[in-house]
Amino acid sequence: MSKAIKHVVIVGGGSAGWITAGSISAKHNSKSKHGIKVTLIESPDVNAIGVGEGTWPTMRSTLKKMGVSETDFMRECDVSFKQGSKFVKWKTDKETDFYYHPLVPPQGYFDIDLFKHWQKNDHGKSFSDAVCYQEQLCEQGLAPKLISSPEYAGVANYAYHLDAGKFANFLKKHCVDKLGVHYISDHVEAVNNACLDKLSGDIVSVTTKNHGDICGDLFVDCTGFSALLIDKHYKVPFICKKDILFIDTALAVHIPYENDDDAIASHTISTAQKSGWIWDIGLPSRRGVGHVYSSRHCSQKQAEQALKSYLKESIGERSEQVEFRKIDINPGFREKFWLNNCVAVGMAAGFLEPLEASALIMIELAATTISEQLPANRSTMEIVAKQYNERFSYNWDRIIDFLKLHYIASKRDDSAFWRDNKNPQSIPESLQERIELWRHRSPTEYDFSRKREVFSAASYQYVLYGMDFKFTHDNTVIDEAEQQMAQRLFTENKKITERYLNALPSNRELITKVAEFGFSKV
Amino acid sequence: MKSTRSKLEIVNNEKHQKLKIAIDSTLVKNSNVHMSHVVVQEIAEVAQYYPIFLSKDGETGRFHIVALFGLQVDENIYQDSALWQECYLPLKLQSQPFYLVNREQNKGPCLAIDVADERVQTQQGNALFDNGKVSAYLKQQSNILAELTKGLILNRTFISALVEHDLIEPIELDIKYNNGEHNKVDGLYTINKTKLEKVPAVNQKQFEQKGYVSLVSNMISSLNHVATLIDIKNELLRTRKC
Repeated sequence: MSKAIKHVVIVGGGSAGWITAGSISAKHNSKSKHGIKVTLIESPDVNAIGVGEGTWPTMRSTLKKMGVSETDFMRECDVSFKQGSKFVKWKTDKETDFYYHPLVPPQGYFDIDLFKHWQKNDHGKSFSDAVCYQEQLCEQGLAPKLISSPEYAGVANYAYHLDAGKFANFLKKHCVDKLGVHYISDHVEAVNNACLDKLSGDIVSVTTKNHGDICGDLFVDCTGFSALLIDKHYKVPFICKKDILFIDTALAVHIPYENDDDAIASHTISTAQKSGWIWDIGLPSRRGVGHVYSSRHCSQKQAEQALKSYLKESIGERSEQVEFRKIDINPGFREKFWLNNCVAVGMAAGFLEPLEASALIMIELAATTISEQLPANRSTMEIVAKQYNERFSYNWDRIIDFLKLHYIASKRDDSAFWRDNKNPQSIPESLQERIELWRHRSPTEYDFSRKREVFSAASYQYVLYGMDFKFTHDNTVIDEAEQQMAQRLFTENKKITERYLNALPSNRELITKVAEFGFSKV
Repeated sequence: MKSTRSKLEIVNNEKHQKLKIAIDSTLVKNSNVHMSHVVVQEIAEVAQYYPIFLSKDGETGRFHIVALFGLQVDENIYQDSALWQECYLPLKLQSQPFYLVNREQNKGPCLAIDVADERVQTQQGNALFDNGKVSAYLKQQSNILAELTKGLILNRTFISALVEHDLIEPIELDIKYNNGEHNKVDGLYTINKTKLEKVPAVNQKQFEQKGYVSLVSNMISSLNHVATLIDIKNELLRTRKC
């Protein structure tokens, strides 16, 4: 008889550990004695890296499923709203150059390809501005909802910017107090194998410094770069993707606002540089800014200089005094994520540059999949693991394709970094093939046919057309009904834009109101 | 429900000694008002005439208790059908054109008058002062405001209890009139009766003691007035009165 899965042991806290703990314990009723037991062991000696401050809209359902109140979350994790990304100087290096990747799909996205209609007559508007109202909301610094909107419901689709350290602590408290997660603050010193039965290779327990051996049925490796279980114990190889995504270093800094009521951008600002790009994320109490770059193309000194001159625009001479925290990025992911009774989540599984905020979403996807697919017993675990590995290799590959797209759709050739990025040898075949298709038609759902794709064709459209990707028309005549529909959608978008511009408060104003009044659940 | 051009002045026996408030016997003043705040002390009475809902304050997102007079913005079916004079008038409307304002901190609220209100003049109606002394009418208005203020505080406790037990749910009125016109009313909330029955016994008892159970049942039964309002509106539409 195969052993039932009754106890999940998570090694490592941080966003990965606590999101996994919260997802499994909420779904499997860990606070009841009949539920699945979840234990999280977190080392008091190790500090979480604290990267991953941008989420996707999925975070709303992830938190809701755990029973978290949006008001509490926003108040305690220094949260602001995010409605997409603004890419500055990515297309060309001109100061005025920018485009948006908003979170709301184009008008009529499932019924019509508005691109060709926009291309014919753009009325002086960018693609994203013509087909989606969100660019204007971001440009005006508006919030995606009202104080009278219920928790997690938006007028416009939205995600969050948050303080990763506060977020992990907030989830820890929620998991322990509300969801019945067992918490052990201790250092894991050894990983112990079963070796005598036919399932040899399974982990039976981990040895802690002060709490002895902790036994479990499934072990989740959330130990970040150190990858205690998946790497140190199982030696699962890491597939490096530096040949595709060149960025391997980050310099990060927190910048406080000058005044308490300074505007908070309601989108991530990504500004391209000679050998990388700079992120700029506005939280209620500070901005998080950082320069990610390719160390092959640029020295740390040059990167620091680029970051300082970026900061100078907003904080003036203070930019000379700031000190940066350096973080190494080894882009890539594991050859396998789930081996035997061990699955890796978070940076232990893989890590990429923060473009398009892939870190937290991959944790959420992993946590949700593990929790929803949690095998009933040890023998079905093999099947689940096989499916899981296939699905997540696919997901990582698609993210890499999408990130790479940003570099090749760019028209920049002002440095070796941008030129090297367009070298065909650095472009995955899967992406080369699709780009070939997109020279003749828009990205569609046909290109991404899985049930839970990470990026939809809409995202590809925003990036490609934001950077003026060439598209040759097929000779088919567009019928009149379709043209009328397109016109109707453009007009509709204009109307909605105006309505929302009038109705929505500024991002700062709403965040201040959330602190004072909170959202109601309904 | 102040008019947008209101001009509040602190009531003063010199400056306002000649002022009178015209008696608005036909309630013309509020003929375009589609809802009014109501307070817990008057809910039993209000429920006899109007449907009572909860609605959110646009500035704070917090719930208010409101009586509905019309099925769309600026519509007052009670006024349009000349029914209004036979109905109880919520304290909030009774207290007009007087308001309480907090001018200075720690000094408590002051009685203010909206001098821009068309009922305010010097010719006819109830005088504010008799020979410089506060008139019985002004005393009565100020009592109404005191009751209203007390009510808003009681409302808050009551609503907090409803929120705490997740008893409030959104309700959308999807109305089709006899003439084929369609009207969707949203932004209204009501109390979920099934959830109320599931409130733990301990809290049930508190609800009972605080009088919340009867408030809730009055609010729920008041919703029957919506059907009546639709009937009247149908009749008004048929005779083209609106």
